[in-house]
Amino acid sequence: MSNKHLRLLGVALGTLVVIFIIMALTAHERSTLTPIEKGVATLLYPFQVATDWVGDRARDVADSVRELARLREENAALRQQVEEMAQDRALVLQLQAENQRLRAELGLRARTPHPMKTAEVISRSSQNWYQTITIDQGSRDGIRQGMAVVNWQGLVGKVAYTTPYTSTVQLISDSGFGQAGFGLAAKLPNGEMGVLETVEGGYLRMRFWSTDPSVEVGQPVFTSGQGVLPADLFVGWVDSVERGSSFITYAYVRPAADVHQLEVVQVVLTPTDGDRGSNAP
Amino acid sequence: MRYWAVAGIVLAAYLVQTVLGPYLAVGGVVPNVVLMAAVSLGLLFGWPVGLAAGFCGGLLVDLTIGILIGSNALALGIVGFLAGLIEPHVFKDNLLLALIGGSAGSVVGQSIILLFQLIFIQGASLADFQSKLLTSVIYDTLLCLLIYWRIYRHYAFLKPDPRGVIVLRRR
Repeated sequence: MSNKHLRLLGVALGTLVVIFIIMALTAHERSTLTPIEKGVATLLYPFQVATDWVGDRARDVADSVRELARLREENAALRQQVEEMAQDRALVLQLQAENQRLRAELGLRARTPHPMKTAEVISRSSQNWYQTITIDQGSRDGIRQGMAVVNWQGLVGKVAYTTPYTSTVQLISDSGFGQAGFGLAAKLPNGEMGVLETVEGGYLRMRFWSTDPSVEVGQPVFTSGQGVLPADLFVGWVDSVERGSSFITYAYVRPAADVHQLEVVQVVLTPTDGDRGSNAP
Repeated sequence: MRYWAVAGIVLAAYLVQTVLGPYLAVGGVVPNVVLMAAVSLGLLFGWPVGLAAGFCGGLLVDLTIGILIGSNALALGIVGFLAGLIEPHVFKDNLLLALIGGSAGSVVGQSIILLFQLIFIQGASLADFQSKLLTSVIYDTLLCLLIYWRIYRHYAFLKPDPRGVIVLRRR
C-alpha cells in the first residue's frame, strides 16, 4: 500500500472518528446551536420565507379548489333540496286544490235541499265503451239505483248498480246515459223544458218540448225533476243551438262536470221508486 | 470537470429538500433529494464526485436538522461513494441505471441513518422506518430518475472532454 493510499485511509478514518464524536455530541437535546448551524439557518431563512410565501399562495389555490369542490357538492345538495321543496310545493298545491274542492263540495251540500252522501271514486271503467266509475259507498250506506251523482261542478251521472259496499255510477258522458225513457228531463232557467240525450264528444243534446224554444248559447241547464233525478241539479251550459227544418230545436249542452278528473263525488239521497235496494249480482 | 456546477446542483438539491420538502411530502414521506443527487452524480461522474457531493450535501442537511450531526453526511457520502464505484462499469445512457441506483441508494442511505439513530439516540425504533420505507423508496427512485436524466442531459457541460470539442465549419 502506497503512502498516498495510507494517507487517504488515515483521512477517512479520522473523518469517521470526528463524525462519530460529533454525532455522539449532537445526539441529545442541546440548549444552544453552534455558530455553523446558526449561519446555515441564517442563510436558509430568506429561502424559507420565500418558499413559505409561495406555499401560502399554493395553499390558497388548493383551498380554492377544495372550496370549489365543496361548493359543487353543496350546490348539488341544494339542488336536491330545491327539487324536494318543489315536490313539497306541488303537494301543497295539490292539497290546496283538494281542500278547495272539498270546501266546494261542502258548499254544494249546503245549497242542495237533498241529503247527500260523500263517496270516493275507487275505480274507473277499464273498458272504453262504458263510461262508468265505482264509488266506495254501496247499498249498506243507503245508495240506491238511479240516484243522482254530483260533484261541486255539477251533475256527474247516476247510480247504475249497487253492491253492499260499492256502487257503479254511469257518467253523463256514457252513450246510454240519456236514453229515452230514463227520465233525464232538463230545463233552462226561463222554464223551457226538454230531454237530454248523450251524443258523441261528451256533449249532451237537449231536445225541447216546444217548437220554438227561447234558448241562447251560454244558458245554464238544470234537471227538471220530472224523471228519476231530482230537480235543480246543475248539468252544464248551452254550447250551441241547432234549429232544424222539422220544427225541432236542439241545444248542445256542455256538461259542467269534468268526468275525467273525479276523485270525490256526492250521491243525492233521494227516495227512489219502492226504494228497491241493490241490483248487484 | 466543472465543480462549481456540481456544487450548484448539490446546493439546489439541498434547498429543494429543506425548503420545499414539506410541501412535496407524500403520505408523510419527504423526498430525499440530496441523497438522490449524490447517487446520480456518483453514477455519472465517479466515486470522488459522489462521495464529495453526498458528504457535503448531507452535512448541510445535518446542520439544518441539528440532531445527530454527521449522520446524513456519512450516509450520503457512503452512498455517493458506492454509486461512484460502479460508474466505470455501466452505460450511463441507460435509465435503468437510475432506477436501480435510486432504489438501492434510498434503501442503503436510509438504513445507515437509521443505524446511527439506533446507536446514538435512545428510544429510536424501527417502526416508523418500516412503515415508510416502501413509499420512500418508490418516491426516491422516481426522483432519482428525474434528477439523473436532468444531469445526464448536461453531462457534456459538466464534464467536458479533455481532448476538446471538434468544431466543423463550412467554408
